Amino acid sequence: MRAPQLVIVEIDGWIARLLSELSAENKWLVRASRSSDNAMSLVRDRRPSVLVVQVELADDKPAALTLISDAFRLCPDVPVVAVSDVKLNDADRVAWTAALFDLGARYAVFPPLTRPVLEDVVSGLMASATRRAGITAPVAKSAPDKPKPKPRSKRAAPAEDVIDLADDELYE
Amino acid sequence: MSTTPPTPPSGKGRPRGSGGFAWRAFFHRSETPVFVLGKSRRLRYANPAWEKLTNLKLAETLGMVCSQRRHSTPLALALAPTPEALAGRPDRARRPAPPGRNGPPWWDVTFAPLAGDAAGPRDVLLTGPAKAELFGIVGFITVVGEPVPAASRKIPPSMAALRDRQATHFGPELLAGESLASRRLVAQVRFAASVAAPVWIVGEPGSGKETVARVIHHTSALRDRAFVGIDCAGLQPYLIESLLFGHGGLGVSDRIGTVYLKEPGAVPRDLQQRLADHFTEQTGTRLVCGSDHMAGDAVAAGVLVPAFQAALSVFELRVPPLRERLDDIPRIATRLLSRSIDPAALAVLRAHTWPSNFRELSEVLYESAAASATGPVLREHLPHELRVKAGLVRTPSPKALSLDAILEAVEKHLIQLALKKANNNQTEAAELLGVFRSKLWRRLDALGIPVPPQPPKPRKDS
Repeated sequence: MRAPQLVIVEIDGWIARLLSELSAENKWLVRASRSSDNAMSLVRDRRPSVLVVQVELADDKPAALTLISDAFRLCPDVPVVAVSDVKLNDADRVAWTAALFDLGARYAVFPPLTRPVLEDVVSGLMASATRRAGITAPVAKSAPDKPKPKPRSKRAAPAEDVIDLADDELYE
Repeated sequence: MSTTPPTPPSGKGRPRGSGGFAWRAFFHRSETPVFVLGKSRRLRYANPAWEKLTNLKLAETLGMVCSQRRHSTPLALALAPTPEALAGRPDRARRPAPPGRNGPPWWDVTFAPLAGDAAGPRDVLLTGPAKAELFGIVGFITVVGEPVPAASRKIPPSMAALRDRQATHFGPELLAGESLASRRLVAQVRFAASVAAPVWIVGEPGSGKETVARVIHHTSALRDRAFVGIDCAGLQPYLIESLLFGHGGLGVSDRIGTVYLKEPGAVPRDLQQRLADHFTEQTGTRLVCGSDHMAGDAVAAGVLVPAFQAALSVFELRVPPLRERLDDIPRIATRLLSRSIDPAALAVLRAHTWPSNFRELSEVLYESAAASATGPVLREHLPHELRVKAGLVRTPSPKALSLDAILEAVEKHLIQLALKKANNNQTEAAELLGVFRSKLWRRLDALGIPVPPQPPKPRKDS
């Protein structure tokens, strides 16, 4: 099975740090890139992938926007998450969210940005991509050094006529 | 519009045998912008209304090739005939008004192919299936749409250009193909785009339901607004609620034209009901859903609230699987790779059943293109499993797993090895093998190992 991969296109590595725990837990291949071309060649790999792109909301820096648009046109099955660290007012946030979705992003995350939200977005989309690729999630194995719990002797089921005090409390 | 049928044109847009003829005789005074393309898609004529619309003089643009190449100008892209028109069938396409503007006004360009009747010297504006030679195409432009201020506000020009490119890419010609299934799909998509009813798209996984939804959006009157695709199976319900109904959510924004719900049956029923209520009341935004099942079946199975079937799947559209439109594979492959594909490779592609549909095809094509850095994609560049399936590669027949034969072969090999080490001395070889010499003899005989000559015994010096 080809391991799922998380491709992150960002400037300073903060998104990779936020998602490091999640990706290590799920054994995802994490690939960071600064170039759009490189990221495109990575997501074309035949394995379930999620592309996380840091978006700069400046008109003179359209590279991330172009990448989102290209990724959607050429690899529509790769979900793209647009992440920005720029805090916006409500009107601007709605405008940018709509525009990013229109370009092909599957979700857009703006500040206030928390790790659980980003993890939920990425893990959900990765699970969806993995399902689409026809791969079932591996069953988590218990650690080998962890001793198996001893089988407990089953407590005899109480007879019907035994009055359970806890039940009495419930019925009161 | 009424047009007098002209006499058959020559290859340069003029009728044969009438050197002074020009298209101006027909269209010069028309208030509708009209242009004429030759059979090589070069601009041969445009009337003053066209000049006024484009702010260009005909003399400056005469001979311009109008095609959808990557480096074509926005004007050439807007005037480029559709594949349907090039195939000789009248067609209409909505194009962003050049130069690269986002949103309205748009150009509705009607292409009327011109062909000469093989039986006689009569020139016809084709209305039926084309059988005759194509001489050129007459295009009529209608400007449609009123500017929506909300659409362009706060969005930088670079974003607007990308949205334009997106809109151009997701035209009906993206779905067009040679097969009957594709033609039916395009016709249904055009109809869905012309009405405002909610659409339920059903199709096998990977068949391109979201692409169809995008094409409907970019062909409809809501194209100047945003398309929002939501993966209901991939996003947790609270994320969907936050996106649509949260503080400053998209649900109440006037920027959204179409909301596409991918597998709406995957969200909890309370959220389904909320979505259904919202989109039943909301008239400005259109809902398009995509699923593997018909809405009625999903409701019957209990995975979907009835409101989706009642009010939100007015128009059901089926996307055919790739195996039903194998004739389209050459066209899809050329579009995806922008490279030529060897006919032998195409034959292999056509032989596959494509259970994962378009998704699988695009993966295979990209992998094959990566295997061949330059030049056409050949049969050898296709994945091994496809070539095996097409009978091009012989799979090795499975070896027999006879235990006795394997054990005899191992025993024979070990005995030969021991004899070699012992310099053909059978006593030493038997010791090395840990057996009696008599047993070694029996095994040599049974396994057919020739008995090697014994080395001379060293003489004892008395």
